[in-house]
Amino acid sequence: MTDWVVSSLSEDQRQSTSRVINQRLLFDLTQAEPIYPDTYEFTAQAYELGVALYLDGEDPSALRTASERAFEALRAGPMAEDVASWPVHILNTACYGILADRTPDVARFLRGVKVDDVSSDANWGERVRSRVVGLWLLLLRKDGWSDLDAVQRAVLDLRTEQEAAEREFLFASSAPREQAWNLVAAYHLAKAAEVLAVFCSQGAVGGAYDIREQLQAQFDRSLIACDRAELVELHSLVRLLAATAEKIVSNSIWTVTRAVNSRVTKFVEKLAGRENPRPIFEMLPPQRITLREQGLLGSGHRAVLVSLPTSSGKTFIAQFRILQALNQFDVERGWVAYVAPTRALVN
Amino acid sequence: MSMPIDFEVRREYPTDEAIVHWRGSTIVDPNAFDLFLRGPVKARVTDEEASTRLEQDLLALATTEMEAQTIREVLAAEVDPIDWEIGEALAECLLESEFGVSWPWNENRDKKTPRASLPGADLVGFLGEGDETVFLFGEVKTSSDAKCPPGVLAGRGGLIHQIDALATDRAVQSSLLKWLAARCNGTENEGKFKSACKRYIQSGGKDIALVGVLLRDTQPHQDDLRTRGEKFAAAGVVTPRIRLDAWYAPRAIADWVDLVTAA
Repeated sequence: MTDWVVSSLSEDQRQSTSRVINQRLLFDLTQAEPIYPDTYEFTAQAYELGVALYLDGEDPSALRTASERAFEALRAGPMAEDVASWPVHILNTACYGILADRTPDVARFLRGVKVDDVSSDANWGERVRSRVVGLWLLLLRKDGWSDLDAVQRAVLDLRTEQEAAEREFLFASSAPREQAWNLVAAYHLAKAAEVLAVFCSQGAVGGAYDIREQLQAQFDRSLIACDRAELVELHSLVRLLAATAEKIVSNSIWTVTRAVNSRVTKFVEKLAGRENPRPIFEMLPPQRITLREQGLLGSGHRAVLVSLPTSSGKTFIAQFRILQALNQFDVERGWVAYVAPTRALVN
Repeated sequence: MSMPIDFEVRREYPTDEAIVHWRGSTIVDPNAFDLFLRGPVKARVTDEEASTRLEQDLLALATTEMEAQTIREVLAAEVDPIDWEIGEALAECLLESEFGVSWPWNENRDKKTPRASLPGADLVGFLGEGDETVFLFGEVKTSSDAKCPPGVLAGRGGLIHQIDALATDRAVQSSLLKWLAARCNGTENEGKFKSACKRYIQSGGKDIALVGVLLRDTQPHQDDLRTRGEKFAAAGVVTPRIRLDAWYAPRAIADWVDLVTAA
């Protein structure tokens, strides 16, 4: 499909935006802040709109391309002048990165930004909103078990604090219905985050594997709550999170390796286990594509050649292939020879 | 084509071609106005199935394991429409009838919940047909203030400031466009969205239509809009296209709720 949003921008707008993105990437070397053209913000917003148009579509390639543009532009953009909107800006940027299959870059990006907690005297509505954005940021970062545990703790805290704070807040509000719908939308987002955190760590939720259906139910109800009160900004964020959550499920180590064989399942449990100091919850995009989408774990392949750049996870892919081969030739007591050109690669 | 307004309208001001930029009109016949309120306007502010939908919403909320009692109390409360909500619905009907403005329908909207004032616009729709379609964003104020212009025009929350903000605030425009993208995808409005969006992006965010609607129950007076209206008229045909419309109703604003909710 022709990307008519991008082609509606002028050549100059696109090129000047690309220049800034490139300058920003070289910032570590040059320490030179780029000079943002007047059209930068408008162009970035057009790129975001391009993503919004593909979120409901059936063209994953177009969504990925549009998300990559938005991710690059927002990541290289200036800090938002409105401090209150900064956490949502960060969350949007990270979502675009996940949808663009740029998970390592998203992790780096999230490690490099600081999002302050909302002040302690903020009202319940502000606290819920801030907490929900914060726990989704943790979920996107997934820096070990601590992030996933923190997500579940934050949701439990919301449930504990609700009774004391919600009533006073709603009955003192000048727009109680609008605020009530805001809370309903946020509570569904919190539940979706909790479900996804459990799935990422255990591969199932309450013994059930219908993770996509469970998530979709929460996102659908969140969107309906946004529709009820026409919560324009939150509606866009929920759509983006729904697509991002779907991508996280697809990238999950549990999804990629499901129903292969017991050796693989045990290996995955060990990789994601609490005893692992650097647990692995999700595959890098090349690993997902190789193992799942291109069927590397199928027993039909006799010879396989994987060609990927350095540090994109070839050895990890090989480990799964080795397990698959050992399982396939178990009766024959098969064995594996791992050949590497240097000792360093074997250590 | 949209339906023409089926009640008599008298143009009050201005008397020259500036009428395309600002205009005051009187709705002459009170009985025809009543019918208009009880017909298309009432349909926009009342909802027979609201309580059934609320029960479904609360059942779903229970799956989050959050407590639902307080939210139930707030959302189940009986709320009559208030005059400015009727004003917004009236403005939508008038713009649809006269200019063929179309409004992407939100079938899930809770009509008892007033639209959020920020960020966004009271009115969000499309003006024009085919490749000429542009986004229309608008603000509506309802006032019985005897002063001309009324207080609702001035100040930070006033109609003029809101229109100026809508003309220049790219973040608000961007939020509205993303909302419309979701609303129009796969619907009869998809083509209109695409046309309007192309014009918006190609013009650097300027090719849009903005309308400020002032609803009054006072005697018509051009001072309600004149200062700003003449400024818009002096600027000529520029983008964004801005128009100020005052409507003088034959019924007191204080009676609108009763007129709409009457059987």
